[in-house]
Amino acid sequence: MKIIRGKSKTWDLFIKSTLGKVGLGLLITFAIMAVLSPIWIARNPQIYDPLTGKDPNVFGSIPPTMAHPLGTDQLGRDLLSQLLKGSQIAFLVGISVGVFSTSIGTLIGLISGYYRGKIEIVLMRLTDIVMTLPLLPLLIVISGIFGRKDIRMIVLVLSLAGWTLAARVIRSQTLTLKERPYIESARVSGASNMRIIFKHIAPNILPLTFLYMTIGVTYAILTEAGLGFLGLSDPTISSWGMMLQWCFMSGYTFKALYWMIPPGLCISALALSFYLVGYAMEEIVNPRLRER
Amino acid sequence: MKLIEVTDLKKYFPVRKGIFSKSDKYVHAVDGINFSVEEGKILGLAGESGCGKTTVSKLLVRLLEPTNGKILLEGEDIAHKKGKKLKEFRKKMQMIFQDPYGSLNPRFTVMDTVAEPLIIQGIGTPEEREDAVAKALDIVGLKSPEEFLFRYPHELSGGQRQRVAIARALVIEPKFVAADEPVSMLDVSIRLGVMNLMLELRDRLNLTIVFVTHDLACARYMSDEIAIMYLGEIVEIAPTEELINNPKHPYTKALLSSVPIPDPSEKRKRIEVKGRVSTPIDPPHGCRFAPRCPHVTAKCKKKDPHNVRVSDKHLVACHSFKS
Amino acid sequence: MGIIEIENLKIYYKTVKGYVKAVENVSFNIEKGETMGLVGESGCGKTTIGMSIMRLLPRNAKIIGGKIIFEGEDLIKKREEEMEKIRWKEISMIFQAAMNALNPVYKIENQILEAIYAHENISKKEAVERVSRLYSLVGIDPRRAKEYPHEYSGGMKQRAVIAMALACNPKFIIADEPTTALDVMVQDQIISEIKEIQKKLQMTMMYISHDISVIAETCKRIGVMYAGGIVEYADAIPLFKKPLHPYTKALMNSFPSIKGEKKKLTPVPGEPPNLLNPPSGCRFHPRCSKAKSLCRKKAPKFVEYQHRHFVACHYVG
Ligand SMILES: Nc1ncnc2c1ncn2[C@@H]1O[C@H](COP(=O)(O)OP(=O)(O)OP(=O)(O)O)[C@@H](O)[C@H]1O
Ligand SMILES: Nc1ncnc2c1ncn2[C@@H]1O[C@H](COP(=O)(O)OP(=O)(O)OP(=O)(O)O)[C@@H](O)[C@H]1O
Ligand SMILES: [Mg+2]
Ligand SMILES: [Mg+2]
Repeated sequence: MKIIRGKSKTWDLFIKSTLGKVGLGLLITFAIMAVLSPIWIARNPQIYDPLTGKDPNVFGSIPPTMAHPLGTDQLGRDLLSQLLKGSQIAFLVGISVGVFSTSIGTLIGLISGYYRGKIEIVLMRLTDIVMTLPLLPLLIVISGIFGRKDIRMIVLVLSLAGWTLAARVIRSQTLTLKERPYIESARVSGASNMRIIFKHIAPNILPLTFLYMTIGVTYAILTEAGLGFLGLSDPTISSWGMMLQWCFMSGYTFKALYWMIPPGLCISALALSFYLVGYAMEEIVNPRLRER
Repeated sequence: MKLIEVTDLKKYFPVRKGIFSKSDKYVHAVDGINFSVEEGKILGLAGESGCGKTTVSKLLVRLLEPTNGKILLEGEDIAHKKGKKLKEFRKKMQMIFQDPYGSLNPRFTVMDTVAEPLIIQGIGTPEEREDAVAKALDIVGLKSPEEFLFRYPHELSGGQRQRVAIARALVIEPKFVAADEPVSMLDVSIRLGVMNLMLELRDRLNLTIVFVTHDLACARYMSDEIAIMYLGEIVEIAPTEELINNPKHPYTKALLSSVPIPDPSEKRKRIEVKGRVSTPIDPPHGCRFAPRCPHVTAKCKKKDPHNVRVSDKHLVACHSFKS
Repeated sequence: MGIIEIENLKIYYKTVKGYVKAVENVSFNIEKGETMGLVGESGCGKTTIGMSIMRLLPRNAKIIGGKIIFEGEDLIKKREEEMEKIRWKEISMIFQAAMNALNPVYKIENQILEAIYAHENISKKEAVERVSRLYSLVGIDPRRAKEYPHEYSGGMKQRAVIAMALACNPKFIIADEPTTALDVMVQDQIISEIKEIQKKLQMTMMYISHDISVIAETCKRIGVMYAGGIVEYADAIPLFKKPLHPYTKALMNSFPSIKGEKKKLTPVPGEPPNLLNPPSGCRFHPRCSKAKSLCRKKAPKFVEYQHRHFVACHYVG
């Protein structure tokens, strides 16, 4: 008996989805920016380092020139340099928070939905507690306690605080999924709890996981930017939020659009691109949406 | 040979009041039933909604653990088996579910679904499994399996889905299949096809089947023997034609009299039964059917009726019948 | 002259994949006081015909041609405002799966009252009285009218829906699968109640079902539908005694019964057609054992082969 196996069509499908393409295109653009960052800086770290560099020929913030395609800030630091570095940081913060928080949320949601009973009660109370924690004051307090603002701390706090919504939604989805006849059918065949959770239930909540991951990524990028803008982020890194903060603090806000617009635009565009990719992924992992 | 034999099988579900408090009330979903099925025979289990048919089929394949009683499969009691020992027995029994739309994982291809029991039980190499899957699909009438193997459930019609579900149940060559209303959600035009398929498979593979249905006409068409359930109990059990033509229990009579007949010149006499099925939460002593029974006596309300033998294979649980 | 006469009705649904040819050249009439049964497999267009009489077809449906004449007037030509006066008052419908459509947040009584107020100008007292009369009619204790849908069993919900359809004393009622998904005993009680009400109120009725046994029991006259067309239309007894169309024969032979000899039944061979792209000629020809080349080319006419016995087949008899 010869069997013709269907090729994995995931990639083809992704490429067919317009929104997916746009999102992926944007993501790739930012990834290239992140990769270019060290190259751009390496040309002359004295001038181009996003934090410590200074062009001796420049005084105050200047609009774009040949040497500084996006201009400089009030200290004469290269804005393009900062923007490229910011791209790296956004990826770092966004993806680590997104992956961390949704993994925690998915696991907690799955386990409490599947096992019910005492485990569920404990986990859901925990979720409620974390959900009601005031994030911003918490961050301020934490940075106060530790005496300095560290990006790793922000990532950690955002991850530990950001999984609750995913956990709740995935739990309720698990509750309905585990009553499906196909789960019982697997059980009749002798499937273990692990197999049922990871082979049957998890793939069916994958779209939700993706959705919450994109939400998590977006939320992390936006929160970090917000914190940066409020001066609560790590001052030793040049994130897009910090760029906005510097622009604001030095009184250039509406005088130097060349300074303000690029980081603002990047924040929105990166958040959007994750959202679009998540949307396209949903179409792929859900075979029902595949037909066209 | 008796392939499956059930004695005094019970399943009580606690009535939940809140998250924390379990009340001391119980739904007597299955309350002490006895029957056995010979190898290669089909037992039809019929009754109204809520009488416990699904619970019985889930108990038989040990999706549920019984509160009490024995389930002998080939002579060995599986009622309280667990873990590895139970998994060993799972090779011998399978279940087919009512809803062909819900019983297939939407993210599994036909291949994944049908091969799963083999993978779980660790049977065969991947190539052997593929062959087994193709063979099972062929048996259930999905000719040219390669056309179906990599389809998803939403790419199949209702009848095809139910065939895939049957193929999955057959792929590990079980001895026993519990089929919980396998055709009631199918359109009339494909219902008969699936029933004929099950009959044919029984003949070919010598399968033993418990066929659950609320449709007595289907039960008659499919089964060698029929058991009528009412509120968790079997009130009458007999060989099919005997039960249809010579019912003894008032409930069986009423049920039979309410089946519409596909012939306008036939005038049937309805037996009116008052009230409706209730939920068997801590039912009182006495015959469960007593509140609705047209022939109820004082004794019926006090004492549980025992099975009375009408003939060799015809049992009825009713005080008004004397053998 | 029937109370309702349908001539060459043709209804298509517009979809992204093309036109679903759901109803094709359907003609029949129903005499006053008669119960007409419409039977056929899922997706053959039964509900579409019912909805077209109510003029409640979904937006993507298009009546391509034909007439629906109710008491001498063509309903298709009526404007929406005129239809609103006819609906519920003159023609009413028990929708498929309607028992699941009762609004869970309102008491059942209020839902029926709403239907009455929308069409009639009567006092609250009269309306409430009518509801309790309707309740007795369909066999529910009128005291339970003030309950919410979830407090009813499936059978009671279905009865309440029937009461609602009867609320404005319609002359003609369309019952679309009113007992599907109910238990046999409940189904049987509801069927006998429907029959009784129909007799008492002298109502004309169109009864839609996929179950030929139910149709056999409830209807005097039966239309057998296949893939958007009525293939045979006759009085119940002759139809069952001597079906003329091969599909009718096959359909009757695919229902097990608890009466008579137990015999092996054979399903209608093949698969139901896709109405996006229905077979040429006679739509049944791919599944018909008697099909000849003419059947593939030409759609058969729907003719009165015997008195009151219509059939659409090239090779009748
Ligand atoms: N997990 C459960 N917890 C509590 N009660 C249950 C549970 N499963 C079933 N029951 C109750 O047990 C009784 C029998 O249910 P079961 O599903 O076996 O009936 P059934 O005969 O299959 O009905 P149907 O024809 O509607 O499928 C019902 O009263 C039901 O409410
Ligand atoms: N809104 C719609 N858009 C497109 N096609 C439709 C629509 N509604 C129904 N159809 C198609 O029209 C055909 C007839 O449908 P209809 O609902 O009238 O069938 P039916 O005989 O009532 O079936 P059932 O017994 O399943 O209720 C079917 O092929 C159906 O897929
Ligand atoms: Mg059931
Ligand atoms: Mg319909």
